[in-house]
Amino acid sequence: MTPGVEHAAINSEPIPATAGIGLRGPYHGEIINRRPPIAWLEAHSENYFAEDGIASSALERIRPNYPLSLHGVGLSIGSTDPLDKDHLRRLRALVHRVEPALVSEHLSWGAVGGRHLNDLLPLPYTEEALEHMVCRVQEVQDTLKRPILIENISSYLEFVDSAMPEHEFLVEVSRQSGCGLLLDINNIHVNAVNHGFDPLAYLDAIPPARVAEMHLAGHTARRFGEREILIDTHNAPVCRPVWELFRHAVARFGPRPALIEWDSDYPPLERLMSEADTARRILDEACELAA
Amino acid sequence: MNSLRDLQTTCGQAFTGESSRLLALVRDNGVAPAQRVEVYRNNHREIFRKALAASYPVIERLVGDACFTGLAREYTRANPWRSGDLQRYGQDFSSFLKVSYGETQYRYLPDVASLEWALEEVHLDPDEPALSISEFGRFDETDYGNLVFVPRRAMRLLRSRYPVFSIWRANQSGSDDRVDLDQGGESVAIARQGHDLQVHRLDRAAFRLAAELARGTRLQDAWQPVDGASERDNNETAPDLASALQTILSLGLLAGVSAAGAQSATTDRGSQVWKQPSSI
Repeated sequence: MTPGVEHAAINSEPIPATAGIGLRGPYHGEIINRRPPIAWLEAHSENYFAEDGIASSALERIRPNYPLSLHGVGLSIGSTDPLDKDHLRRLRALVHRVEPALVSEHLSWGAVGGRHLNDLLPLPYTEEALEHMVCRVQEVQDTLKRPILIENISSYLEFVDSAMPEHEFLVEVSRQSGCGLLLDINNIHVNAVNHGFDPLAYLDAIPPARVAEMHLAGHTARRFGEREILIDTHNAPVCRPVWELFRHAVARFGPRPALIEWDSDYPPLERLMSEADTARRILDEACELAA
Repeated sequence: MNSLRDLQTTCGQAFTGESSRLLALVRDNGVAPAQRVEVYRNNHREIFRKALAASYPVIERLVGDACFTGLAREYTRANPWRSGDLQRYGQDFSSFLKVSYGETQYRYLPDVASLEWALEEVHLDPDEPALSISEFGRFDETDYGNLVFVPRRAMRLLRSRYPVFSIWRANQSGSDDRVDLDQGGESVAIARQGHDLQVHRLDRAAFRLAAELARGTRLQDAWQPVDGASERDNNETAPDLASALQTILSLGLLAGVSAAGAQSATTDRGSQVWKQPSSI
């Protein structure tokens, strides 16, 4: 955090170190009406920016019944364009309204020259990019008056300019800015396949104390000749290698809030809850072993 | 080494298909840089196609997947987006369709798009309670002509030369309605009802009255009934003020009422954010 700036304590229910699911529009009605036993929910911040819109009204009814995390996808923190003050103002207003236990964004950029690509694009892992990202995370934290979490993204290319591995860059952003880490286990698997690194070595390089949350999701493979690239589509169940990687992460980091994300081709809510049950069992096993 | 700014500029041009200068800056790692960049180009197209399709499902269904994909690509190219929030992406799609289809047999498409965009807007609009008919009890009947109204913010009125309501309804899930494109124009009212949106066809008299009241016109000046049967929409009966007002109130199109000259309407809203009704 920026020296001299005092961040207020988080005044909200904590996210339990068990499995939750991503709150998406198609599930609003069922979650309001049936109040299913889900340990916690995570909402995409931008979907609730319209303060009195229908989605925000739904969130207002859901919020008292579940611990909540806010996950942003559009702030473009790593962009060299100035931070979008209006976007940040609306995020701050939303945080004030719903008092989430956690607020997170991505180790990425998405806009240049005023044009938004609305994608999570990779940074080069250079000293310049590190300094830039640290400043930007601090600016966001200073505005929100609270620490945030930064999530590693899926990527489909690496820059020749990169001078350090992704995990080193990620840890340095966290260490220098004071932000926590949201480790997306699926993204680590996707990038390991796409760029040819050892995902276990990646996890082993992350200091456990920095990790505040994990994400799990499905992906899609696209073949290019003899090789394939994994695309982070969030439209499928978590695959076996990602579950195995998750076991390794839980063993290393201990129990942490873990989220099942599903963002298109939505299945019935029960399917997501079943995925969350699998994650919860892995977290519980780790607790039993540690006891 | 490239500066971060230069690299992001080059990436932006590459991912929107405007340049291939990025290729030399990308590692191979077993997959050609051109193929890696193509993943981002495809993502770019898909992100905006999906965002547009989320707002315009009826247009997507009417033109088909392949055509919609082409339209989305053209629209994205012509309308670079300027926000990290995609919720309001696609606001000019009706105008865009007018250029492509305004003079063709599919010239109703822009009006259908206007209806779908109105739904999107109302979805995000702030809401307040609808005016209840019981509020009229506060006024003497002799003052009714001087009543002025405040429209709901989460409400839109549209009028088209085409049967847009019928087209929209016929393309909702589970509908097997068929639409005669020559059946004449339709007027539509969209209003929020709790957590849902209600879409209704209005007869021409109710539409005119609603539009005038929404502009703040006094009730006695707002009622200009459609006298000639030739000006009425298909199968409409002779207009009646009480019936038209009852329709407007039952659909929840109004939020407040006051007598002209009174200090304030019975709504706590200070300023008006009403958008003019669209005659499309």
